[in-house]
Amino acid sequence: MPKLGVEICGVKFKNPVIAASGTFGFGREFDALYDISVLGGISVKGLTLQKRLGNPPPRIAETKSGILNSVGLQNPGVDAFINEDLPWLKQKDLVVIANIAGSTVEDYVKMAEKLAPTAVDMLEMNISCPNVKESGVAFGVKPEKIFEVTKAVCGAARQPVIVKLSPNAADIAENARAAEEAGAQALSLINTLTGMVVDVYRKRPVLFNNFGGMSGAAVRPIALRMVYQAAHAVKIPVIGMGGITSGEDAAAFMLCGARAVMVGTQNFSDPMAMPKIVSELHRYLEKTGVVDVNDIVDALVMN
Amino acid sequence: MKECLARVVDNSPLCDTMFQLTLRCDGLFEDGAEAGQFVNIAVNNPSLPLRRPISIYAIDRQKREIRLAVQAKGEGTLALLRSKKGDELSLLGALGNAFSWFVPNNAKRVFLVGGGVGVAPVRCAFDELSAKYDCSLFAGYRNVGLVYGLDGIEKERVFAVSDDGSFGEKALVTKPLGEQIEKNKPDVILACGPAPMLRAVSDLSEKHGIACAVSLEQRMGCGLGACLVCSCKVKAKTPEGYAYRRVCADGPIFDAREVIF
Ligand SMILES: Cc1cc2nc3c(=O)[nH]c(=O)nc-3n(C[C@H](O)[C@H](O)[C@H](O)COP(=O)(O)OP(=O)(O)OC[C@H]3O[C@@H](n4cnc5c(N)ncnc54)[C@H](O)[C@@H]3O)c2cc1C
Ligand SMILES: Cc1cc2nc3c(=O)[nH]c(=O)nc-3n(C[C@H](O)[C@H](O)[C@H](O)COP(=O)(O)O)c2cc1C
Ligand code: FES
Repeated sequence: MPKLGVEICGVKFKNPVIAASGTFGFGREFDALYDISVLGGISVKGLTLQKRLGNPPPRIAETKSGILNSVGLQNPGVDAFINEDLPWLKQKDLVVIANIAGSTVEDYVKMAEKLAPTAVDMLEMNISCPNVKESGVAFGVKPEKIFEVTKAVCGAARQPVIVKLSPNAADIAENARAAEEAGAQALSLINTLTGMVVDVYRKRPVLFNNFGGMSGAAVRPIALRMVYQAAHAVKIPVIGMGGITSGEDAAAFMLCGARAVMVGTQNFSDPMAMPKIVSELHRYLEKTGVVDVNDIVDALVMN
Repeated sequence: MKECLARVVDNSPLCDTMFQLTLRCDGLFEDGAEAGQFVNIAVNNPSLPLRRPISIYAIDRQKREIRLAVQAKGEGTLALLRSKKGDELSLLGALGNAFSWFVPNNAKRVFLVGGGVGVAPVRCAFDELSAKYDCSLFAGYRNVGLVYGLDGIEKERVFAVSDDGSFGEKALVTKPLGEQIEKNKPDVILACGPAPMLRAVSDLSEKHGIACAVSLEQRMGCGLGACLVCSCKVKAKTPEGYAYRRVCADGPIFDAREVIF
């Protein structure tokens, strides 16, 4: 029986498969289909200091093997999460990661302070949401900005801080190092790639917001390359994501240096995707004669 | 609500642009299925990551079958059009609320209003609600080639029109609806169709003080209420004066008075 448990910043995950932020809500809806305690963890819907209504619809468009979204961080606000959703989530047996987004450094710090006394296991800083004009992009793509906001949050946080990196960046390795130097205890990547889908008959973009964040299988090769580069630029653990649809896809990210993976868009194609990915990963380890999933981390042999 | 495999029992044409899929799906019936609800159906094409939301058109609880009336539109519905008897399709359902949610027990007369593809769920509601209420079906089509969903209903309960006069009167569906409201005011109106039709039906209901529910469409991701992509605007006591609700989980059926069209 291969072992699936992993540890990141001292936090133990029963397996390395984590629900990606924004695709899994606060877990309740999917828990109606299967017990979400079978997962390693959940990164909850991106939280902001105040409640946000989000963007007008349409908020989703499809492309070959991918989707684009422009939800615009609709969420009930960090206080509502702490009071209404966290108690429910903590009855479940999985690591709870609070994904936070802000428009100013102070926003991030205030959220880290509010979350400090709670039972949240880790923080994930979404510094890269492409769907909110004032936020994300400004922080997420320049190393100086990443350093500034990460340093401030790490000073205020009690839980380990994961910095989620944007692929919409000139040099992913440089950004990864900026986060590490500022005190980040882990990295996750990739967030979505900014793109557009055009309805040629209406002569308009499909998304109300015109541009959206692309995810799904189509982005996987880019994500793998970036996870490899980031993981080899820093010493802190990296969580990989972007287009994972199967246990073998998850293994590919781990071979590139990821200690764990997150799964987003595939939950839409197949609502039972994540439990399947856990068992497929198990089968992959058996097939390849590996006894511990940690042994495949960074085991890629480059040509 | 479950993810389950359905077997295609039959796939046959319904009108010029629509086809009818009959699906045997035991899993779906474990938690029940009702008129107004929909299924999120995987289209057996791995390059299309999103499932397609399709309303339930008919329910046969004995045979554990449902029927879907589908318009062949883009790649996803074309993939469904190609499915053959015996094929397996993954369904997520039944999703969303049902029309019955909106009909009070003491209601007597119910008017069901459909436009085009939107006739499917209200025809299903006609079949399901007729045992309990005095139901009439109002249907509007673009032209005679697109007519479906009326077979087997007594003539005096159907009021069908078309945009070009090739089927029934040349009129919008709100014309016969308005006439019948004057004659036999219903307790409830339930509608599904294009937004301009829903707005007109909603206005007419309001004018006559009749409760009205509309079934809305929006592009979907998860279909479960988790991803928040399927939002529709409703009136709310927020600083902005509105809020977004999830069509998949809070709807697809909403009180017409709440919706901001
Ligand atoms: C609750 C609900 C019930 C529906 N019931 C029916 C029905 O009974 N019969 C029927 O023929 N159609 C129904 N529709 C519309 C149907 O979902 C779309 O026509 C279908 O998804 C189009 O897919 P496509 O691949 O052919 O088109 P494409 O344009 O290639 O689809 C691209 C993407 O846009 C989405 N999309 C496109 N049009 C719509 C739309 N009108 N609503 C929601 N998503 C859309 C698709 O799901 C897909 O993700 C319903 C929609 C909703 C929301
Ligand atoms: C509908 C949707 C909403 C998302 N919302 C968030 C969010 O709130 N915060 C965040 O950090 N990432 C968000 N993401 C990005 C995902 O967490 C993930 O980084 C990305 O989708 C790539 O993984 P995937 O290809 O497996 O989906 C969202 C993605 C989607 C599809
Ligand atoms: S489709 Fe995901 S919330 Fe409605």
